[in-house]
Amino acid sequence: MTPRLIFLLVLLLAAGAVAADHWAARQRGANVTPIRAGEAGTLGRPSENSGGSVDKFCGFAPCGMPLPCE
Amino acid sequence: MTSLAAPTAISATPARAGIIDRPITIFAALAIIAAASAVTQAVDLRQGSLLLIGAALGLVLYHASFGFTAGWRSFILARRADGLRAQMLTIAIAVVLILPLLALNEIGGQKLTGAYGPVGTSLVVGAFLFGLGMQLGGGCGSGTLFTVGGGNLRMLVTLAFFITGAVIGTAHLPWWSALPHLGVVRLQDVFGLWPAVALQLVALAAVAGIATWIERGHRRDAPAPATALPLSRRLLQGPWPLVWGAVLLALLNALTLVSAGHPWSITFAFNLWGAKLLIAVGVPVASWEFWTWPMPAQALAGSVLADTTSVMDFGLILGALLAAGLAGKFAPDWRIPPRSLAAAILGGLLMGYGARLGFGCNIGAFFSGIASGSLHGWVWFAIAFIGSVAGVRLRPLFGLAN
Repeated sequence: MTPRLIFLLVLLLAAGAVAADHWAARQRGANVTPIRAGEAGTLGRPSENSGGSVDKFCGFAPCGMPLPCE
Repeated sequence: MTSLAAPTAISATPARAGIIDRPITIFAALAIIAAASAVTQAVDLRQGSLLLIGAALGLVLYHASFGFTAGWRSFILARRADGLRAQMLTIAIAVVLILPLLALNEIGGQKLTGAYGPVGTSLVVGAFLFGLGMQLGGGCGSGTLFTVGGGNLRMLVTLAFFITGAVIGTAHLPWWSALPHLGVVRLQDVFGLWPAVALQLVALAAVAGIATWIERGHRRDAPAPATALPLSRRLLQGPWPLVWGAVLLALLNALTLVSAGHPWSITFAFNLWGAKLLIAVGVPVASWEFWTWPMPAQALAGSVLADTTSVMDFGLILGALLAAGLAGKFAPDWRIPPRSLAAAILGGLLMGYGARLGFGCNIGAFFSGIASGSLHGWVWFAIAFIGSVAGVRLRPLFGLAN
């Protein structure tokens, strides 16, 4: 098996894993609302919820880190 | 501006460089179309367009050989500053585009948020580890993805351990983030919008100027001759000058902001992929504190296609694959020397863990962080560069050429 085929096989496996994850999420009834800044769920609300070890937060950095309120 | 070769990054054994690799090109083009259609169908049109933006980023990164890692190493070892100058240029353009957009708060109903992170212990440790790891791994956040797409199997190992390190980082981030920090510092809040833009442009110009001054005092080699390829062929097959890459990456980052609501970032997806894989083998990741925070919890519970960063990363890999096919350089080689393999594993782990602690990688923290006016981007740059100096010194231990 050539490295080219191995590489393409890895790509196809990854695509299969993504498809399986998507299918499983749908089966669980999880929504597929895009997670974009200020759109989904609580993300858009500059609320003062508990953020774990960060007590108060007013949004999220792209890495998922809650940002403390000013 | 000369092209900045990244010999460890892009496949080093181009089988038929200069001749379009039709099977790979057609495969990649069809894969991009199919993936964008599938994401549009599964989520929405905007999410599908983000995959195409990711593909464009991958193509630009590959054709311009826009490697942050190689650019820094080239400066550290040979005092060649072209890579650093190109990085300062792309960030400067992004600052001018992104900071005013963020001041609008929303555009076309899409809320906008910057790439912010607190300045503190976690950032310093994370940025150092990332800088060290990027020199051992052979690529940074963007570099790892575009070289994987280009067919570099060693970088596939780096990516696997990048993911591993990132998910380990999610287990520890709550502890690290509780260590002393100044919080998020946004320069636009401190100085006002336009003074913050001006201040950052001056600082970026100063970095480029100092690098150029150092280069003039040390440079001994002649610049590489410009390619004689016709423009149309060069556009299609590369190589592109770094400055083309710099301009296009900044424009695509701004386009990402208005489409995704946040600037270009890469490594959140790695956490997510790693966490989903661990859940698949029975590890209760969802109970880890990081994954109870609203955004990570939502990402973990939902489809990976709902995560903008994941979708863009998929596009980036496919875009680089397309570019490699067009350039005739898709030539994966699985003969990886053991010490080089060890460096790929260690580098990947350090980058993954470092990216999590450092609130982003060279894209999320450095490029997009500075473009968002976040002080953490500047601190990340300084500390990661120091880490890179250490990483460059360690490369020979792993048999990696300097």
